[in-house]
Amino acid sequence: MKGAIVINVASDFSDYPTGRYISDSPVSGQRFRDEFLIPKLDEAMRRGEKLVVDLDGVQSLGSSFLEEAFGGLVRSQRAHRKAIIESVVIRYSWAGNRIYENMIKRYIANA
Amino acid sequence: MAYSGDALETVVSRNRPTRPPARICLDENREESLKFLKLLRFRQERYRDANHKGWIQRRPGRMPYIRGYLDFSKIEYVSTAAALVMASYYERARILRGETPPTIDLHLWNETVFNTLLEVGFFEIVGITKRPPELVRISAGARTTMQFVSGQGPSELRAVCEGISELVVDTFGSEMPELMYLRSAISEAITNVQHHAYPADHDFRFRHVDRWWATASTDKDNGSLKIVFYDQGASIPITYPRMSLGREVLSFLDKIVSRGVGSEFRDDAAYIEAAMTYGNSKTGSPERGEGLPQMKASIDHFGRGRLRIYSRSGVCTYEPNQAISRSAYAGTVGGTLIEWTIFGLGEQA
Repeated sequence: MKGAIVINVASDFSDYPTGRYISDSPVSGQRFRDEFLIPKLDEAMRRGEKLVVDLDGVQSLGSSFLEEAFGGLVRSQRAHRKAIIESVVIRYSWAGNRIYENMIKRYIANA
Repeated sequence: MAYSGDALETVVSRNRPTRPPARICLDENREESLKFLKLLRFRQERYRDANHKGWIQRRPGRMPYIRGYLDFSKIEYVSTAAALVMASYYERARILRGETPPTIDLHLWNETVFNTLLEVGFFEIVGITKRPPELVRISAGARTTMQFVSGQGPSELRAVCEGISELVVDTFGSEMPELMYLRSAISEAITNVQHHAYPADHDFRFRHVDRWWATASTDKDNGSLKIVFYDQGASIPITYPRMSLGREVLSFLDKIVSRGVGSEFRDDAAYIEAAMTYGNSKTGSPERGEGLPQMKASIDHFGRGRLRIYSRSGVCTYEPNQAISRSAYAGTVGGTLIEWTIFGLGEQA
C-alpha cells in the first residue's frame, strides 16, 4: 500500500451511526457517504492511495446505514465499482467485524 | 383506592371490575394475554371518546367515580414483554390525553407483578414515581431488568444500547463484544419503525404516537439476556405486501399464503416469515431493506438464542440452524413485538 487516507467511523463520524437517509438520522448512511466517503475516496484516487475505513470503536452497524453508505457510493457513480473495490479497505481489530466487512463488500458488489 | 399520578383518593366504580387472566405472558398464555391487551387498548380508547372530563368523574356532593376498571390485583404474573406492551398503552394515553387511567387498589397488587411493572418503568408513566435522569436497572431475585426506553427516532439508540451493555456487565461481570450484533439489530429495528411502522395512509384503529419502546432483562440463573422491542404500528402483515417485492419473495409467498376463505389474519405469519427471510425492500433491490434478515442473522452470529417476532396476529420464531417456525393466533399484539433471547451468557463471562 503506497499510502492511505483513513476514516475512523467512530471518531470522525459517530460511534452509533444509524439510519439510511438524512431524514432518518443526523448520522445516516447518506450523510456518511456524502460527507466522508465520496470526498475521501476522490482524494485517495487522486493520490493513488487506498481509502481505509476503520470500524474500531463503532458500537452498531445497521444494514440500512451500511447499504446506503457503500451501496450508495457505487450508485453515486463517483467511481467505477471495480475502482471502489480496489480502493476501499475495511480495517478493524475485533474479528467479529468481519461480518460487517462482508456486508459492505456485498453491498458494493450488488449495488 | 385510585392513584392518579401521585394523588390518592377513594373512588366508586360504577361497574364491576373486569378480571384479567392470572398470567399475562405471550409465550405461556398467548390467547388470554392478547385478549387482555386488546381489552386494555379498547378501554383506553373508549373511555377517552366517551368522557372528556378525565378518567375520574367528579360531581359536587358526590363521591368521585370511575366507569369501571381492570382489576390488576388478580394478575399473578406478567412477562417483561407484556409489561412493556402495557406500559406503551399507558404512555400513549398519557401523550394523547395528558393523563393515564388511574391505578386502582395498588396495595392489593401481587408483589411479583408490581415488581415487573416497576422494573420496566410502568409507574413512571402513570406518575407514581419520577423518572430518574439515567436508566435504572432493578433486580428481583436472579432477574435484572432495564427500565424501558421510548423514542420516535434514533436519538435514543445510544441510551438503549448502553443500558443493555451495563445490564450485561452488571449481571455477568464483563462486557461482550458480540453485543455489537444486537445493537446493530436494534438500530435496524428503529430504522424499520421510521420507514414502515406508521404509514401516513394507513387507517389506524387506535391513534398512534409514532413511537417505539424497548426494554431488556437478564437472568443470572439461566444465563439469558432478553431484549424486547415494540411498536404500535400498522404491522408487517399490513405493510409488507404493499411493498415492491422481488420475484423470489412473491414466489415464496405464493407457496405459503392461503387462498381459501378464512380470517383476514390467517396469513400474517407468512408475511413475517417472508420479511425475515428476504427483507422488506420497497425498491425491489435485493440488498435494500435487510432489517429483519439482519435481526435474524444476529442470532446466528451468537450461535445460541432465539428471535421471535409477533406482528398483528402472526408469530415467527427463529433459532440458529433451524427453519423459521410460524403460527397464527386469535387476537393481535397491536403492532409488532420483537424479542431477542440469548442463552448461555454466564458460561462465557
